[in-house]
Amino acid sequence: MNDRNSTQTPERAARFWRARVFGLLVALAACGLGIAFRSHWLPLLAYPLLPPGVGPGPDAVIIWIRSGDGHSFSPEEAIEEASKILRRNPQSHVIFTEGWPSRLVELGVIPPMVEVLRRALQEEGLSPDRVIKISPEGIGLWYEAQAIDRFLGTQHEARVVFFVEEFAGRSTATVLHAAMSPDAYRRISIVGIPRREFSCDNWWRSRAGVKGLMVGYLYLLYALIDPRPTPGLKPLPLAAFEELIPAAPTEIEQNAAP
Amino acid sequence: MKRKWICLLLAFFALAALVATHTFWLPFLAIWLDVSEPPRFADYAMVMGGGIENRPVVAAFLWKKRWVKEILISEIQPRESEGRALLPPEHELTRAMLIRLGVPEERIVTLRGNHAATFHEIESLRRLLSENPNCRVLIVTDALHTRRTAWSVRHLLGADARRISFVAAPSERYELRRWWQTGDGFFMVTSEYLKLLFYVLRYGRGVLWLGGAAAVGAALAALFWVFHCFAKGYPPSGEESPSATGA
Repeated sequence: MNDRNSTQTPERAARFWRARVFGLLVALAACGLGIAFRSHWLPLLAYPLLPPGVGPGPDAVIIWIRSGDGHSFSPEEAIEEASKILRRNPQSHVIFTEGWPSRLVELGVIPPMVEVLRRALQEEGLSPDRVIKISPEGIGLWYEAQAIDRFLGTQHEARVVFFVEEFAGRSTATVLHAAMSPDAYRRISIVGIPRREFSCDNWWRSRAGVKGLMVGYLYLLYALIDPRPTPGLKPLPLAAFEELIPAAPTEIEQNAAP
Repeated sequence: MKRKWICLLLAFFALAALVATHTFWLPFLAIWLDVSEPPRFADYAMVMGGGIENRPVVAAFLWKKRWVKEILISEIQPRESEGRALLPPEHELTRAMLIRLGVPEERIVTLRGNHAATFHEIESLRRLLSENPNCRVLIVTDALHTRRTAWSVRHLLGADARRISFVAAPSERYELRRWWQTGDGFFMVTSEYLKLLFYVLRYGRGVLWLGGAAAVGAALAALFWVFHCFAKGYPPSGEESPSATGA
């Protein structure tokens, strides 16, 4: 018995090494193939972030554009897309919502974003009256979605197209699904617009694309965990900033005076 | 099999303990990222890009309360756009905001260049410091962003890093000690850790450390494997020995 084991040992050792060398070669080949065909599988990493469903149907008459921070549109390209629909369909109009109010607007550095939007459409030869501003009850997409839900209650069966950043599609859909009534949610087509710098087909080629993917996943993760907003958030007044910075000591003040 | 179950049970209890005590340890993840200090006298307050709502306000009050003599802003190139930009680029908005807050235009200095990231802004600051050997700078940024900025400062400025200190701009979108309760807080903390990791790998010696650790790990694994093979009676070389063949 012992002799048979002993005679089998060299064969088993050889087989053992062959299997491991083969495994290593397979792993190396898989890595090589992965690198060579990266443009085929890397887009798959971005697909979970894309909005569910298809693009806007021909019957979409309401275009929803939002500014999450009060000083930019998310995304800016939504205005071009909206212009195309507005030109095609004279019955269509834009509804605009805003998340956080901007201090830039408060200080008069920039006009309110709804005015920026109206001006942009006017420059495209479209009437600024086709923009309706809807004011939510709180800060955040959740409250904006609820305001749109109420608005849609007055617009019988009107379909809405909501332009969002491409990698924010799924997280936006998650929040909307939780915040809106099933009927209102059903009437909304979420359309992800790729940025000019990157899209789901080439995000790994630029720093902005990699960052965009990371941001998309972090927002999606949070939207899945808790899509509801935190109540009670409100902008800090300028006085709060002033209180935060203590006065400089007077004895050195003269030396440091501007 | 029994040991496997014990390990699984222990892992479950450890996870349950982490979840149950999350309010005690989660705040430290944010607190570690904040390396800001109270203001001190300096020549410049530098407003880091990417936080136009709050950072310029803090810088303006630092100037008004005479902690600093001038304010530095860095040029931020606008995003690629086919058509006309709807609003001016960020550094122009920051400048306009500072002026509205009472800072005279001649007290605002713009660092020229395409600053797409924190690291690029600190590179421009390095040039300014080399031209002004005695000047001190207060960097104004979000509290959670100070750790990564400080890392960039230490990495790029070396001994000159002593001339820099950090003042935190408050954010209304999250509380540092309850950051996980808002989307913005969750995003800021998690993304800062990921960006810090990227900085260490991309700009620091992270790749070297990672490579070294991988090499040591591989060597240890190989040693363990060879030892394991011998213990099981497989000559790792696969060569026959007289005793093994029984000849």
